Amino acid sequence: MNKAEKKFRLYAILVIFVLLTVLLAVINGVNFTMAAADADELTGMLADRQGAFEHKENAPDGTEAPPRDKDFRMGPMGPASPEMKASLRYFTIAFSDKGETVETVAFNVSAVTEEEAAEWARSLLNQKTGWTRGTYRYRVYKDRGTTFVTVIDQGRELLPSFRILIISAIGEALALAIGWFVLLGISRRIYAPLEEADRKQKNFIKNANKEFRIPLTIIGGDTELTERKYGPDDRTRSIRRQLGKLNELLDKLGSVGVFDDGDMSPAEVPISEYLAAALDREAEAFASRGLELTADIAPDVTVNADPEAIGGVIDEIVCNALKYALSRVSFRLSGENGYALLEASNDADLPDGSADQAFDRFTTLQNAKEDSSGLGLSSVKQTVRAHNGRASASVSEGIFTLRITL
Amino acid sequence: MKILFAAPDRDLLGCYKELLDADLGETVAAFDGTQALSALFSESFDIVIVDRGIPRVDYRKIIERAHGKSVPVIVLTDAPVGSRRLTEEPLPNEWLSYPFTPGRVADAVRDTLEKASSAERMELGDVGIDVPGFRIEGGPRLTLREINVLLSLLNGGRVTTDDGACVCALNDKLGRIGSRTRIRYRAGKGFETVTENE
Repeated sequence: MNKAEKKFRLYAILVIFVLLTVLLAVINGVNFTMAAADADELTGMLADRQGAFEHKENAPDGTEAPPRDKDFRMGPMGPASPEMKASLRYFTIAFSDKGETVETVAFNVSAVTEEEAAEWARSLLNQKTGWTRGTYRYRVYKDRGTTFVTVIDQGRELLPSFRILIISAIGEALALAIGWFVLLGISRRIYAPLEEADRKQKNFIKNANKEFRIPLTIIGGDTELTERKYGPDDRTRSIRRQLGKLNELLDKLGSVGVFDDGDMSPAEVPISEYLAAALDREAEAFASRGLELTADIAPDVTVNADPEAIGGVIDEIVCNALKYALSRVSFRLSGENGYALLEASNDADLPDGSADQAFDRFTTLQNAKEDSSGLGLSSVKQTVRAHNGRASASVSEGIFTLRITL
Repeated sequence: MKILFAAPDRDLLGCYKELLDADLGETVAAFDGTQALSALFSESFDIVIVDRGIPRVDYRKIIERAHGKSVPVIVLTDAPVGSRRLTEEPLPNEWLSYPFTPGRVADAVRDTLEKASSAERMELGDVGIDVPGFRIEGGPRLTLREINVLLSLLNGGRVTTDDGACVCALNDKLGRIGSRTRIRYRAGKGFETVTENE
């Protein structure tokens, strides 16, 4: 349950992170785009005025200076504000076709000298428009054979945008941190009842296992006494059969419960021989069911595990294959890098896909027999996990495959 | 034969007193540890069968008292008997897990008493096994099942993976006394005793 809770927290914080990032990226993207558009409007207005709001009497080529003030309108904000022409920091350099400086049309900046401005503008001659040196917007345009480069300082206009960007980043980090702690509390409240239910289920299984054993012994003993006094009959035989089934169920319940407690005694277990022995033992049963059995068992594969537990795992896997195979069964055991990999495959009438639900307690697949308890593979997984191993099941093209790694 | 049967469940007591009376001999029933200890003090028994969950007195005290009078003890338990149970002290002569049949109990009683009264001694590699004493000579105690596993190994019988817990416990006990003998699994042969080189 702890794993599920951690997964929930991780995925939830990931979703929050993605949503916040997308939202803030859009907001900041739009913000900067609008700043660029405002800057382009200004450079456009300057371009319309041959590079300056205020001109000498004639333009560099001797023609009359263009009209002024037409585009400005009353209002407090934006590039069209009449105050803009007084506050805008910019320069415009005119160049000949050969790239020689013809004239400094306008120079209203403090950051560079005129010569530096001319060099800066010359470096932009082959561009059209864009940002230069971070917060300067430029435009390159031609008018009657002369190339003009206008560079305007948008530092002040961009400052709020950068502030918003930084605040967004900090805000997102804070939101994620706060979100993490909130999720911590929420997930505990959500999962506490589930953990409690899981713990109660395990305790119930453990206690049921213990609580049933003595009554079953008594029922068996009283049945024996009855048979001794009155002789066996159908009823006593039926009682014995049912006792057998209950005992089998209890054994499976027992293995489900025991390894929850870590009640294991590890030793070097020769899993190759355990599997070979189990297959030898059931060879007749496979043959009587007409099942084709193949086995590829690497010799001397050992695992450090509880011998009884591993014996139980192998027995259960072999019995499962014997029970559900339609016509053929195969087992493969290999050892690599200190791990043992056991694969048991059988043809089965099941849909393709993951079949990991077969490991859930009291869960059976579609092809389950009527007398299936849904505990066999659950105990296998429980045991494998108690040994830090992995168990998985899948169906592909009608072949059910169990994979155990120890 | 006289048997002391101590268990907290009256139905179980009643049922098995009758069965054991018929199969083995006089059976005295005790409902709790106090009754069991009192019976042990005042009467002689050939064997004690006690439930691990007997109330009032810990079952281990009953084992100690019975062993003090050289009376073997079989302990009934509602959990599977793993290698951990086989190495705890004081160790009973045998563990029996619920549910069991009357036949299983009778067999365990007879087998335990037969071994307890035998004069048998086994050589197991570099150690000796005191069969009537249910122990490795100079070492820890053994249960009936462990002794049967050893007998099977020495007499050429086959020990299977069902006895894996016993094998683990035996190797642990052999290791504790510094023996070089171990029980190992051999391909195609099953378990066998080997005495490792120093």
